[in-house]
Amino acid sequence: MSADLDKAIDRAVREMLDVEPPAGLRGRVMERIESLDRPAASPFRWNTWIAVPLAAAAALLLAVVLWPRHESQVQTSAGHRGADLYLPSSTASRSTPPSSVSFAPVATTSESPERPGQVRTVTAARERQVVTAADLADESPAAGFPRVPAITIQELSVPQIRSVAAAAAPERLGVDPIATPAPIDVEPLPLSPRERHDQE
Amino acid sequence: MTATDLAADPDLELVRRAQAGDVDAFGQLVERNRRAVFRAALAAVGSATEADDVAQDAFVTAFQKLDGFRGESAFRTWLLSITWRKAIDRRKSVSRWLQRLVTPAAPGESGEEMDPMQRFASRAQSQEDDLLTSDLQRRLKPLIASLPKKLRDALLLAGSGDHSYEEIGRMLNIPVGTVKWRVSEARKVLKQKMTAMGYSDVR
Repeated sequence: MSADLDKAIDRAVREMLDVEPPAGLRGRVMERIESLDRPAASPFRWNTWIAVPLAAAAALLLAVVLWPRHESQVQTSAGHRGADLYLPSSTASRSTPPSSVSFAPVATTSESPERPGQVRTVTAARERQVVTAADLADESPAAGFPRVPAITIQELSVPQIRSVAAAAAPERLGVDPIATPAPIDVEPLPLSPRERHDQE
Repeated sequence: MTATDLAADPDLELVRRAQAGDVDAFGQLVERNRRAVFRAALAAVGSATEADDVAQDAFVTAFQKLDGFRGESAFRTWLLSITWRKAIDRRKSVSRWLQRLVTPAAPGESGEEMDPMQRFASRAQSQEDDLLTSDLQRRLKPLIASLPKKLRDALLLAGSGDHSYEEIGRMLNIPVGTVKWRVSEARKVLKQKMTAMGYSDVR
């Protein structure tokens, strides 16, 4: 009986695997081998599918890392730009004919918190800019149009904000301290039979 | 290359020529081993289409790694080891699992969804007419397909007649004793199931 089942199993296994490989297997294999030797006609190789996402991920990471720095630079430069447009150097007079004006580094002034009453000048780190008459011509109103004073955004400059002294912390909050809680009396638990036995 | 070497491995001369750059020699190696490679792949994946893909991958990989073949084993054994690894990778691949989810499967006898091996077993059986295939064979094939993979792989490879136990051990990277045990255990399980189904007296 067992031998017959063994034969039946063997026959079943042979029938399951008695399948001829599809025709042309050798040809397909040789084609693939030849394509290995040939440079790929398509620019999109398999390693492109790895390199492109990696490059995209690296670019995204770089953008994320640099993003706050870029924003702060924009804010700082915007503040300076406003000052540049509004006022030349503190030493220059507004009545100076605008044939050629050189802009000194932009300066912002504020009251010093350490010495009240004294004006502290914070000089922003900007290169000197030479503005020619042609550039200033944009500031002159066109014929027939009123002159509109420029709007400064010095208030938004970071040095201005930083110069504001922090308010002193209050010494008293006006809240009573927490009262010491009364001790809690806890009755001890009765001894368990085992503990009573151990004591005896 | 001595006559003894050639007797031990008839593919050796073609391998040496292929290693020297003769691509046509490798083509001859493909022709000589395509059946064994295909059937080994079929035993693992259960589908002729997938077995064809696996066989192609195995031959291409063998070509790429041909310089690493040092003749420590027969070329065919080395090639079948590559084939088996490719087949198992294919069997475990996520894309194959997704394909099984998406592709509607033909229901088995119990009406439940069949895996590729069971579909393969039923298809192989359907190729034989009911006049030629006994009821026992019809019952056995799905049972073989439903065996645990380790037992089924060993049984199919051993039962195909293409491989020795030593060769199967190298392909599966297990000792020969383990191969024999798995084949024996697979037969035992099948016999128990067949006996439970009432096939105690077989002609």
